[in-house]
Amino acid sequence: MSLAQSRALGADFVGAAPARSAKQWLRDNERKLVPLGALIVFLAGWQVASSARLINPLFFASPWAVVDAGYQDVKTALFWSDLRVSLTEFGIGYGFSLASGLVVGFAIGWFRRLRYVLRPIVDALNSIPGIALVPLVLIWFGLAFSSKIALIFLVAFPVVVVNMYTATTSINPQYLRVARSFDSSRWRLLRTVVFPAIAPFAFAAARVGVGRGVSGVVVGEYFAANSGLAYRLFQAGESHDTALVLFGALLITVLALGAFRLLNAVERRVLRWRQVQTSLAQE
Amino acid sequence: MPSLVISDVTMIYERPRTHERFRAIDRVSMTIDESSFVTIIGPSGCGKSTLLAIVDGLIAPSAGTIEVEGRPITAPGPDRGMVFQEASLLPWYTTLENCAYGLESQGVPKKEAQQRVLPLIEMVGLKGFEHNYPAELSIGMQQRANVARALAVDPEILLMDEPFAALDAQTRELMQSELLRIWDQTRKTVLFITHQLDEAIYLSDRVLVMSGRPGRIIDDVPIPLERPRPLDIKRTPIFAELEQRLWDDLRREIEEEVAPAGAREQW
Repeated sequence: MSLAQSRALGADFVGAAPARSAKQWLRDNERKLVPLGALIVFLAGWQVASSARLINPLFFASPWAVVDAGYQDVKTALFWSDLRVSLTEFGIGYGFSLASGLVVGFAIGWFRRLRYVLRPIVDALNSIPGIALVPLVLIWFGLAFSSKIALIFLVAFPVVVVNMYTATTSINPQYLRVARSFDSSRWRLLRTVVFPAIAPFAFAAARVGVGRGVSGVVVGEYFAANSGLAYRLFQAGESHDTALVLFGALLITVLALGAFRLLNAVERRVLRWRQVQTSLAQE
Repeated sequence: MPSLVISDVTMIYERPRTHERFRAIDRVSMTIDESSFVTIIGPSGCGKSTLLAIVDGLIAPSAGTIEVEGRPITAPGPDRGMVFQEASLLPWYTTLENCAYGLESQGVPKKEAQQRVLPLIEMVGLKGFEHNYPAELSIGMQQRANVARALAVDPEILLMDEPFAALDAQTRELMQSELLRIWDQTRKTVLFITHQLDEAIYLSDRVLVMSGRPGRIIDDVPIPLERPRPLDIKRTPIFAELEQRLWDDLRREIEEEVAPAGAREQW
């Protein structure tokens, strides 16, 4: 029966939850505790293997070495300016790609003739790997800041557009009929049916865009930069500082994950109605 | 003055690419009196839903006219309210917001619209669920909200397109009885579509039978049962007689679809 119905009845309710033992608490929180436990075991094993010289420190630094390298790095002023550079590149490039991608993607989905013209172009852009675009970007922008923005845009924008036009063209027609049946104006149709319907897909597009955007930053800083986190990473690689390389990679991963989490949190607040759907699906 | 007059409505569909043309509805006419409950039944695909969409103004007929209270209609309007089949409550709105939707479309400010639909929500039996999302409601409850939403704009005519099709048999019986209870309080003119014979007879003052494609009206059966009607009325002899008549009408149409007259000779 539905949530609403089971709330309305009460005849089968036996009693409040009994006090939980420690064992029960462990079982209830399994989902968070098991991975945490596995991680601790893994790190400990890794550290022991490194200390016992079972692992070549050139190939894989010990966890402690990574932490130490990171700590030394973070103390330098250059680290923070590089961080600022990468974050700015990502912020501007991704922000612009997302904003324009959402608008263009919706337009392509909504306006038939626009779709006929632009869709093949966007699909093609979406299929090109970022690296293939680097030589062109270098010719256009050189090593300037704008070259990174351009690269991020070229890899993130198409994927957002594709997500959005797919969403816009697959809105349940029944909802559109409802709006028309009540003689809603075009604008009301958009505001009350179309935009809410594609909103979840906009967030999905934003998430995918983050992955692409980060990739754009890294590729851009490899080929066309003299600053930034990824640039730093590659420098560390060239001097065979494995611990620093691992730290850099970890840092970039953590930042990307942070962006994901942020998007999810925003989505949870903006799309409250989805929580209901997904939580019921789990019952 | 009759509430609804449908005159010689014909609908011809054209396939988008092949441009082949098919007649979905063939010169359908009917006159429906105010406050009467009329049901149209017919085999699948006979054009019942199309006819309803035409009356609602969502589609323009190839020929023929529709008049509501003497006025011809060409587009959706506040004088007609449609209750669709399942999955038509907007999932991003609460029950209250969904029910107020029609009023807001007419320009009524949000707060006022919501105030006005609160008694309707109570009338359809959803008190307490105003702030739930459709995903939290059972299908039966969603359909109640659907009805409340349609009633909120105070239409002259209520159009219902197989609203109980997605319900299980028991909930369906309950909803039929509920619908009559609600209808009794407002006495709107209703044009109802269903596949179920017992549903058609139980609810209506009159049942129109539509043929298979191209859809034509082939029978017009008045239902002389008194109101209010308890569900038990379905087990009375007169009810069975009416069902038999409708079934005889339909059987011919359905058999035509399954095995056209020529093929049956060979059995």
